[in-house]
Amino acid sequence: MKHPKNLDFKKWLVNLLKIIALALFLLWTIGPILLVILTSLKNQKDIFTVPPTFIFRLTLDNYSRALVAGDFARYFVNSAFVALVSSLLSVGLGTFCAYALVSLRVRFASLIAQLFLLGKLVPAITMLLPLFALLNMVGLLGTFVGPILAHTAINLPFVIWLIMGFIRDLPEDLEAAALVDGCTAMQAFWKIVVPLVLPGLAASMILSAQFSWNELVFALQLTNLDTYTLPVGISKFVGSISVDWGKSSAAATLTMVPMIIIGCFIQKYIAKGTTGGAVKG
Amino acid sequence: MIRRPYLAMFLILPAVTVVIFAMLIPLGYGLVMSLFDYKIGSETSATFVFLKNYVRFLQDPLAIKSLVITLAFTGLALSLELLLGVGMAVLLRSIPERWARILGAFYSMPLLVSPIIVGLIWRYMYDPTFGVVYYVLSWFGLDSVFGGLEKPGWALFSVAIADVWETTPFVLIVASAGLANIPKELYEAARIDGANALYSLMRITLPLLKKVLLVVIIIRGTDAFRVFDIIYALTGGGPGNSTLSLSIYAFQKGFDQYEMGYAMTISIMTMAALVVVFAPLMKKSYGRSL
Amino acid sequence: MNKSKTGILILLSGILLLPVCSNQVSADDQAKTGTSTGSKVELVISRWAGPHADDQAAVLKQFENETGIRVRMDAIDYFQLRQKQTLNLSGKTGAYDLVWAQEVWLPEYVSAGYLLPLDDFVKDVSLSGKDFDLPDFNPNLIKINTINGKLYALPTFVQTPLMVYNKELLKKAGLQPPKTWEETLAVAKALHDKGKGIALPAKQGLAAVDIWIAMARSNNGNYFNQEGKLQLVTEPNIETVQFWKDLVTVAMKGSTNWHFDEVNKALQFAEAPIGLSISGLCGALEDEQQSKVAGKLGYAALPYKIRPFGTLSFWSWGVAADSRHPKEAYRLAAWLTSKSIEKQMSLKDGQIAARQSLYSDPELVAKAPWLPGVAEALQNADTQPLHKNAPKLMDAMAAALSAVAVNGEDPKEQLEQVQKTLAADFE
Repeated sequence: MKHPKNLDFKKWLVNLLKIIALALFLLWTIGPILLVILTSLKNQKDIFTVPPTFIFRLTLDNYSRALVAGDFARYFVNSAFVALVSSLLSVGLGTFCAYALVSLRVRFASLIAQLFLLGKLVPAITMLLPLFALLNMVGLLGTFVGPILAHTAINLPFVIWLIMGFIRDLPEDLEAAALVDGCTAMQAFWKIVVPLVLPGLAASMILSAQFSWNELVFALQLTNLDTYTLPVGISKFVGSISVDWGKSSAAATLTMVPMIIIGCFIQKYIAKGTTGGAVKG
Repeated sequence: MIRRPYLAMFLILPAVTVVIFAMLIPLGYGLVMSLFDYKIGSETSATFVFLKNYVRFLQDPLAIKSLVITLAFTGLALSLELLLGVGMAVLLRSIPERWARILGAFYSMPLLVSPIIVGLIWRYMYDPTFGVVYYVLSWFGLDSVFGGLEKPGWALFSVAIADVWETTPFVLIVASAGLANIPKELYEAARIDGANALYSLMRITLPLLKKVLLVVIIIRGTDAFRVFDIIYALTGGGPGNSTLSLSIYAFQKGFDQYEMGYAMTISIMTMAALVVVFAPLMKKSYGRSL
Repeated sequence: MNKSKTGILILLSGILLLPVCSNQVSADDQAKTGTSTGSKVELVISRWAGPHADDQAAVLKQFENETGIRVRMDAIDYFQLRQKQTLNLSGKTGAYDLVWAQEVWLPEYVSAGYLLPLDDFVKDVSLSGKDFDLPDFNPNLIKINTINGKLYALPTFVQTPLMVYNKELLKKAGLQPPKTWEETLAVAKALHDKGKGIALPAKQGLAAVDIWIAMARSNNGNYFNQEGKLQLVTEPNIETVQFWKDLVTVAMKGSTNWHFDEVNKALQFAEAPIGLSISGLCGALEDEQQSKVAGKLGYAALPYKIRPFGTLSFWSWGVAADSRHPKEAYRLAAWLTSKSIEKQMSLKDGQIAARQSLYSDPELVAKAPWLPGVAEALQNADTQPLHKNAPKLMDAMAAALSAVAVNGEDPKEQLEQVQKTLAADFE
């Protein structure tokens, strides 16, 4: 015989614990970010107080200095372009590739898949020098090709393996059913597979885009004054012997905002449900 | 399994081409150059030393130390990320969707912050005089115990914590996507049969997440192993070389000390270690379906 | 269905081609500026970003007005600078005309053929300008920039570590500004007992090594013996490492992870009564907008044993070998290092130029109270070794100093270890 009161109490306790856990994690997660935003609003003198102050005179000085001195409009456009193209390429090429490796019989599928993973293991400095030389040879240094190529290459292995995992999780009957109904392989891809791995696609998209948006080394070394991106702009405020905390925090906050907006948007697709009901049993 | 060799080729080729050009050719280059002794920019005056660099690596106490440090860091950071990431993803699934979406958006924010700033802000937070971490610890009287970035063992731990902060969102997002694929009906059926939350977790969630988790472990594990930015920003390899990861050591050798050949060797050895540690997992992840 | 597939693929290939098209546009631009006949000459200079760069960018507009040559400043993150310069100079990309390089990079750059010798340019008055006055440059620096008998870069922007103390805080604690090792240790200990201490850049890195070598040389120690061979395990050197170890025990909390930046901040916000900082940061200390201690600070050379000694570090302008406009590039370098422009920059930024006539310029001294301290530090000063294997030595010393500071390792043992590992590199 279950006692309703005990059960209710237990439920209440569990809910309380859940809320505490969620709240603590929230604090942990956005704490440092709030610190960045607070710092961007402080005057130089208020930034390094002991103990840290939370009440101070607000100033937008850092933002205006960062925007004006920092060529920010151009960096923003460049970043958007590189992030968009490289994430589209990663997810596009990667999904096609994943589908082929899983659903179409390819002779060396497992070898190719592991090739991608091997690619991922290559450290950045090993990639940088030959890539620089290659781009120099064909005269594409200083253009967007460098960062886009590097970012796409870095994201591809992860996208491919992730989507492969998602596709494999789909029941085999689905495709078989589609083929029986007269679809070609590509039709099955677009109409059945893609909608069902949408959470995976969305996750890959946002992760690839944010990686590219924040990447520094390739975006700095393979480009020139006209093609620098936002992270390059931020790094300018971090000096060798002195950091401009105010301006770099302002620059970082500005850089965060577009990604936050896009992130909220994509969350919808990640949380979206799935196969439920498509196939019985 | 459909047989469409030409279509397959067409679909695979672009991705393979990108990876070959941007990653595998450089890898080959790195392999070849690790057999030489040269400075960056002076490749034409490189001296061929064959495997001497590799022998040197195996006898270099600092290289071995950096290997151990890298392994320790990876183990620590990876386990914490997985625990937090998967744990929170599961927790988010169990609350109303609207809240889950809002919280989820906040939880993924660390990913959106530029790594440069992540380094800076954590360095600031860990500062004993100006930082928030010591300040909060002083409320509990723990500030004299905590070694922060000052003491050798503690430094690696502190850097790992900062890294976990930065990378947990990745695990959380992927795990959430994976969880989204588990039909809610399964949980309902289990509940009707009298299962409690823990049972659902162990018997339904985790097994079905296995594939996704395996991918995450491989991706994040290899990333953690090659960690560079956060260590560079926080400690630069110190104190007392206690946070000198393999990638930092390679960078030092290649760009500070002009020994590019040896730096390439360290990179190749890093990859070798990665293959040894992660290959079994990779085979498992791929072999799982057919 | 087939249409949508092909549609997407066409879109993707279009996207792939976009960067290439945008390249065409910039390539056309480059082609235009590449020729100096008729169309405007454009120079690109490579240096690190920061307030100094901003000040310099403002000053550059004058050059454009005077000569009609357009200058674009590629100021980037300091930590990526050498890599980017090296990649471009070795790949002969022509991306840079002038490069701003540190003295320790010059031997490498010259031996790899990245820079053009400047002697002929210097003699050309139409490029150097009438008031150029080469002898006015600090002869020590010119000597360092002269490799194999040829001058490769014009020196400017000098940096040296300094001891900085807060006169008010010291007075309150009843202490006198220290000069020697013993005095410094005593003062730091007294302050440490009160909860503060001396602010040191004791993070594992080059700041500590820069300070250490100055102090070692003030004790007649050094890296090498008379024949130029590595000789670290000497009494003076051991004493210096021991002094460093002792100083760290009375340092401010957090010092073992501080670089110059953090030390400066500690001074700036009146947390540190005394500290070892660097001249380039002193501007921030005296800026009333940012600093709580403007006007309250005193500046001196680093603590010394026998006589004061300083570590010198400076940046110079070199003309890239692959520059398309070497003459114009040199002209810009000469203009930037001319007496009037250097004075402008010093007034604006507080920088220390390589021009001797400016050290005693009354206008500058009034603006930059740390100048006398710098002059004291530079009386006897030297750079870190310029040997090609020097970086290895620097990194090894940085690790050794950190081990001594943090792990309490024995100074003699640490020096012996470094000596053993690196002796062969300095034969």
